Amino acid sequence: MVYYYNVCGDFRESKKMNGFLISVVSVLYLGFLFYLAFVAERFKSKKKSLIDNPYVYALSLSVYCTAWTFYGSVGRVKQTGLEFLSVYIGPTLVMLLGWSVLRKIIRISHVHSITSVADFISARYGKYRSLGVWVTIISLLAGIPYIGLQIKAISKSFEILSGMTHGQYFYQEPAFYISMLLVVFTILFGTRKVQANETHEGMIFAIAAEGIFKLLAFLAVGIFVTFWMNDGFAGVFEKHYYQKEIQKAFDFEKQPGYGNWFMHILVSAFSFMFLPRQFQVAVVENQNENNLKQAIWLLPLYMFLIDIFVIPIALTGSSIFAGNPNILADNYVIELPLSVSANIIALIAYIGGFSAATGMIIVETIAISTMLTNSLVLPALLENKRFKEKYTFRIINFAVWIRRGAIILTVLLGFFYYKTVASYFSLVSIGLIAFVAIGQFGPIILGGIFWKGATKAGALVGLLSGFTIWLFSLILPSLLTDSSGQYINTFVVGFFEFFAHFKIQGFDDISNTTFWSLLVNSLLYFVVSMCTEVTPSEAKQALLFVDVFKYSTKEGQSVLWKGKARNEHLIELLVSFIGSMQAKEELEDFARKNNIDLKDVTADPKLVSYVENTISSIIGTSTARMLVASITKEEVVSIDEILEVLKRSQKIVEDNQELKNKTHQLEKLSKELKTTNEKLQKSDTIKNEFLTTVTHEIRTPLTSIKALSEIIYDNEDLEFEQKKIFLNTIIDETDRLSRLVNQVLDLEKYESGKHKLIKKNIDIPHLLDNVFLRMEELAKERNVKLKSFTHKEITGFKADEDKLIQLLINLLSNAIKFSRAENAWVLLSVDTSKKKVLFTVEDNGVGIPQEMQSRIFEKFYQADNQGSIKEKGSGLGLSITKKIVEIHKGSVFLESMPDKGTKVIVSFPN
Amino acid sequence: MIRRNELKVLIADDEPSILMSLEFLFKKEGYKVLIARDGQEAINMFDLEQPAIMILDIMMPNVDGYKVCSYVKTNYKIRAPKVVFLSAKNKETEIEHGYELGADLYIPKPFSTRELIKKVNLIATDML
Repeated sequence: MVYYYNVCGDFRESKKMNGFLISVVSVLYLGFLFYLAFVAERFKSKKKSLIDNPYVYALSLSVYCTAWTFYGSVGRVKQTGLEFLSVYIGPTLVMLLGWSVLRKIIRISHVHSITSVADFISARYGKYRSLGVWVTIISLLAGIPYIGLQIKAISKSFEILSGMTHGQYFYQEPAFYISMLLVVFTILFGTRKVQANETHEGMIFAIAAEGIFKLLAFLAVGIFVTFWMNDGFAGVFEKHYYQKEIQKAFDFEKQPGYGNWFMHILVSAFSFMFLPRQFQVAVVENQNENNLKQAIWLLPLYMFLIDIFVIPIALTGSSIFAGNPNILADNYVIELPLSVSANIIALIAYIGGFSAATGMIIVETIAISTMLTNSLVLPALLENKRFKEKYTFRIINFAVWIRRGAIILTVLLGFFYYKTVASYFSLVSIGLIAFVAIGQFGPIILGGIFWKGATKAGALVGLLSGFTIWLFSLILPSLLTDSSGQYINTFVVGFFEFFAHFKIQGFDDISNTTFWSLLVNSLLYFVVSMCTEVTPSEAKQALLFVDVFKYSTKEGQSVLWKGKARNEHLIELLVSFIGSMQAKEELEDFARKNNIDLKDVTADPKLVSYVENTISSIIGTSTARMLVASITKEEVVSIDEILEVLKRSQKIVEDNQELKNKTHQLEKLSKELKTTNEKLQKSDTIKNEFLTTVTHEIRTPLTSIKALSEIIYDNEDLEFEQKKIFLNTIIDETDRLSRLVNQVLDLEKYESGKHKLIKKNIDIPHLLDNVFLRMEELAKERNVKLKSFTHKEITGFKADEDKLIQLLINLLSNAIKFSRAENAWVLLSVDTSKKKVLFTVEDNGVGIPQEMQSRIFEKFYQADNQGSIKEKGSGLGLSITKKIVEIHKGSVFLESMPDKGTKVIVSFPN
Repeated sequence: MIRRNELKVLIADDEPSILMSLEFLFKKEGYKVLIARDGQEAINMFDLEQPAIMILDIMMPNVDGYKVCSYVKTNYKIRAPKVVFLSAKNKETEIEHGYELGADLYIPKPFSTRELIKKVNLIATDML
């Protein structure tokens, strides 16, 4: 930092803001980014992800909004009015209408371990390297100026805020040191670990944070300008809309047509998806396809918020600085707060612009360095036979260092561009020029994922034709003019006069080039594709890309490889990339899942595909292809074979899908069942207990019957008396069994409501006689005195007589059974009061303990204190009694004292 | 012929008719038969008489057959009697529980008298 201070010390003092302070803030800000990235990486090592959610995903997509948005939007409003919105409408439309395209690209990239847009395109066209090379070159040509633009924005904003102009040499510029810090950041969080399916958690988290900073900063400036410097939105227009220039910009009649809008929206939509940095954040770093669902509305919301104050700032700025042509509209965001000495707001604006610029530089650098490494340098090295022989298994070391070198190179080129070439182009045009170049990927990517007939030749011709038109109409005119705006020689003049014939009325240069380049690109792509034959390797990739939702799941199900490979070579290759520990783990896992023996000499084609896919995610598909080809002997797979395999894997995918659907349905169903079941379970438990008890009760007499019968059968010489006793017991037990069956059936009838109630007038004295007649024998046997008593004469009592008799017999027989030996009596009394008829059965027997009184009406509940000799009963009598009372709408009460006696009162309505 | 009359068999069941038939059967085979009408009586009788074989019902008033079994198996480890459960409880878990408590045999009711006698005789042969 001391060194840095010395550099700044050369600057002249400023009355605006201390340059040293700004430097410190900038470095602190970058330090904070390092910290955030570090935190996210640490979370990742604990297997938690801070970035796998739709919010971080949407924020990372906002890397689309660079310094160009932050500073340039205001400048564009001043020139072309509302048209600045077109480049935000493009992405908005992609999210709202074209999300399915994005989703398909994400799915394809995940399945095929795609590492960059160059990788994607070359993979689609049969892993054709030349395509990857050209996509890389075009990305580089579009990306370097774009990075330069960001560095320029950092540098300019620093100058404005500090009021200092820095020296001529690069080492006198703060921006140079900032760039170097960004290189460090990118190397640290972009190439720290090279591993399979790597995502840069730290970088993405930091980028998402930058998305918040730049939005908040711009909103802060916007609110400051709109509500503090003016009286709200309406106030801005009342006060500042008088300017002719602005009025012209907002007058659609005086603007060059809707064609521009359309073309700008088109290229910005393509760019939003295919710019190297956009592809990086939207596709390569995407953690989960589902995050896209939320981003569909989050990103447009972001665009809306960051655009909402652009017009107020532009109007206010152009009005306030009307007399000062030195202050460019691009700088209003900082200049406006400064003009009223709101230094803090200006500093916030600076940080916002800084975050917009650094975010872009970081992601773009990662993306471009990946392309340079995977699609350009490594394939070129592997072309060299000696290199290949020597380093095949050590390629990963090269990959890391080449990537790091590429990062340094990319940023340096950006810086170099800013220092030298940038002055040829206006700030704003750099962005749009880059957009048009990237737009050339549009036809071959969209064609590639929807049209199986496309060939690599068609793609290459289409891409190069569009690129050439771009080069000649947007780049060369600027480079080939001298300082006065004249073309440098007559040949060039003639050349461009020819080009001028194609100029469409009402289109600006960008729209004109967009139109022609995309038209020629698409046409040649189509025509050449139709004229060339689809090779097996192209056909394979075409199927896998176009029908990705149909065929592909990752676990090497679509194995389209044929040839001979040795397990040891494959394993060695994989180990060289991901280390022996991880390789061992993954291989064993894979072998287990696919039923492969790794000890075999010859490798299973599944394993070949698996290894290729894994290393693809590190060094790109074409390099991986070359590496795998170099250690195996491959055979060409015919298109028929490919279709056969794909058909099979489609079946697997469909089955899986069906299974998933079914599982889902089942889950739903089982949830419903669970609730129902919980309800049922209670009654079910009761039912189960009932069944268990019934079977037990049935088995007991059955056991006796069986045992005794067998004895009689086996012992012919049984004594007559003995035989008689046994037979008598058998008869008793049979009676008991049939009684039990009858009672169970009775109970079932009552519980299911199938019983019939035949009510008729009851003659009480007759009823009592009838009951006593039946109880006489048992009472005599047990030596119990039976008594009855009628309090009042009862008339008009209606009930089912048979059931009433059954009820009274049940109660009386219970009372008799539980009598004590001496002086036992049972009293049945009848009374009436308040429209009720009461039957009371009272005894002086053993009584029922308090804790059992509430349960004795339950089925099969037999009070435990029945003495050492169990009283024979099914345990159903009282339950039936209770049911009979219930169906008569009556009630039953119990009073009992152990050793004193029991009193049961049954009350019926009369 | 085995001297079975030296072997005491204790039969515990709360069903008089089953007691009646078992008593007849084992007496006829030559065992010395003891009778208990519930679990507590079975335990008392065991302490008093130390029978060699116990035929136990499970569902008995006061003390159930499981408790009787674990009582004799834990308190008389060295000269524990052979325990045969004879029960209308014949769920798998109930049978397992019986064996866990140390029972030597578990015969579900209703049982075959010939089978029962055959199996108990085998146990007796082992003991003599």
